[in-house]
Amino acid sequence: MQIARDILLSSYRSMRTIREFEERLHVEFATGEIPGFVHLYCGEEASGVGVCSHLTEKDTIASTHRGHGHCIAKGVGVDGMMAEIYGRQTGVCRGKGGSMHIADLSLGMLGANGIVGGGPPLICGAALSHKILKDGAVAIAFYGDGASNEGSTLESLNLATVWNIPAVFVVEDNGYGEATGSSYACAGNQKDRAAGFGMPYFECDGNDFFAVYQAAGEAISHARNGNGPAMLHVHLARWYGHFEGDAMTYRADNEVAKLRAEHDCLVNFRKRVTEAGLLDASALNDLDTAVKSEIDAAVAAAKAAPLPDEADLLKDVYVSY
Amino acid sequence: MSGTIIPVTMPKFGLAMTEGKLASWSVKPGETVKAGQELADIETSKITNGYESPAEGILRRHVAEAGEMLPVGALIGVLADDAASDDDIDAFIKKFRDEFSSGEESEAGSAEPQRRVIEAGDLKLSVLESGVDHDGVPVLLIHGFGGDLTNWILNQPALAEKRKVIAFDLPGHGESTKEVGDGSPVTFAATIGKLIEALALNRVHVVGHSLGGAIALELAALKGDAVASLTLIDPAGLGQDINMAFIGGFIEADRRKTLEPVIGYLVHDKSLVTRAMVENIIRFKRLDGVVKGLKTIAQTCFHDGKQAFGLRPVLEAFRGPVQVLWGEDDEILSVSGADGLPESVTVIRYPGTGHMPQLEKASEVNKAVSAFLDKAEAK
Repeated sequence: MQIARDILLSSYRSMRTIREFEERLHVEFATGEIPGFVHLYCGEEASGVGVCSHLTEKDTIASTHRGHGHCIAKGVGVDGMMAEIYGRQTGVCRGKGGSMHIADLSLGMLGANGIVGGGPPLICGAALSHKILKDGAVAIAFYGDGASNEGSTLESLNLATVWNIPAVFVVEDNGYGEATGSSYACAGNQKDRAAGFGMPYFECDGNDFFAVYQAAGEAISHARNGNGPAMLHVHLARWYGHFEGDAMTYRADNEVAKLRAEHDCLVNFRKRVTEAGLLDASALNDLDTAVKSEIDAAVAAAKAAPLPDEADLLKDVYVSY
Repeated sequence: MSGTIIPVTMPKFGLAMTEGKLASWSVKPGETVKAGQELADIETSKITNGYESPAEGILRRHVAEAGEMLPVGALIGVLADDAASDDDIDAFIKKFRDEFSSGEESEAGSAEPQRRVIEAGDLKLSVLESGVDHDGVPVLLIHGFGGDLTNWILNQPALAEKRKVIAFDLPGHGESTKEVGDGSPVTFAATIGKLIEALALNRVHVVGHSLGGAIALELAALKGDAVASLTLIDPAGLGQDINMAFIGGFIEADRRKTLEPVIGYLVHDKSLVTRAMVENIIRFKRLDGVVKGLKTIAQTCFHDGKQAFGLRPVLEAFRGPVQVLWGEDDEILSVSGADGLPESVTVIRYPGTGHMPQLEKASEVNKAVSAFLDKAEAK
């Protein structure tokens, strides 16, 4: 598989941005300055980026409670995201959404979602509108192995086939629904579920950007070409707890240390592209440096930005069509 | 980054953590740590978790010791490299603590007063104190039949600007114990006597509304020395008549539709009766023992459709200053109760006002009470 140099560079940059963004939030959340809850995407970067590298602004995605990675992969700016997470006026939702409600409709990012299994029904609507408008776009739902057992998800799989819409269901299977192992909580398997609803199933190693890129490309092409929905099952791992502060007593000793040492999607990516001579290490190092200062600036700006005031309370709450 | 000092603070885990206990340190002072290395174990009511170092450096100080409970954001340690001197670190700790505690105090100062539970004899009473920093004789607010301390919501903050003000839920009402005894004003007054003792108050200005007015009078009879003055708002005990449609309706009605007109008796301007107000009363009445208590009070205080007590002699015998405030259009206790009182009693009648002038004419009532208390204290 050949991937263009500019896609390789932008994909690496997105993955690095997600990593830095999340590692920084891990530290900043502990200071108590960030309101609400955060769920970090560290370790899962290749999934969001591998999928979204196939998308344009016309395509739509629905994310999860663990949504920062999907936002960045879909092109939402880190300044607006960081400010949103800090609850500031300069946030993408003017500080009123926070981590679990970041949305930017102008970029086709329909929103992170505090409801487990909330995304799949949304993208059925989005995909239906793509079909009716004939705009050639696809709609993607990211959801976890826990959400794959929700009624709303299973209904959406059914509806997507019934309507024959350009929808792709991306199961980000990190092995745990909060603290419950998917080996315990998921009956049957995702492949048979896809077959049960009459849609093709694709599967990949989520620690490998190239595997995700390849499988996502096939699933998205299937949907984009008018063949109806598809399911993409991404096997991956999260490096932090379900939420920040989760003591992860349900994980084996050294489980995360081993993941970090052996299954780091960024390390895998660097190794592959430098060994193949596609990109050189210095270009990637430059990107690392640039991303780091971008995140520093985003945190500093977010902390300095004003909080929403009372006059903002009802702003953007009601819209008319 | 030479010489940079990095604070290690009590972390926030999860959604609702506000404080945590430093269970143990994993790193001794003087040891070098990497970013992400576990520094300490932190315990909260929900979670015990390792806290990872926010940065690389030498853990120069343990500011907090194992076992200490601290708010999120409080300094527990200091990271720095060798370039920072001990004096620098001392100065950093002092500055951090000064800034952190000043932030805490300003928050505490602006905090809303909180209810607390006080034991008065066998009963537990829910009490809301405000203006607690003021010296001088405090004000005690006694609500009426079926009410609670929130009846004073428009009065307590205003009065608390100059005085300590104590509102509470009578037994059988609000969040207090639902045991009312025989339900008589004398019994309630005896309980309030115990409340005054439990709060270590010598004297109080007493403000009583409706049945709370009768209770205030009984309190004056029981503990005259403790009562600095009496303010009686549309009080029971000075006349005979009572609107039994209100008393009976309040006890019996269990739906919004039937209760709403009953609550309407309380006010002249019926638009003041909101859906939320009525629903709150319905919710309150569903609590165990509430209706039984209200029935006992009604049986004792208002049997045969008349007030069972005449407290004019008590008022006349009271040696302190007395003020009586009454809504002219009171549909529950007629304003005629304000007629024929001793000349020493200040009487104010509010036109276009029902049974609750402290609600309908809040600012006028607040002014009248403040002026009366100022005058009482000047004597």
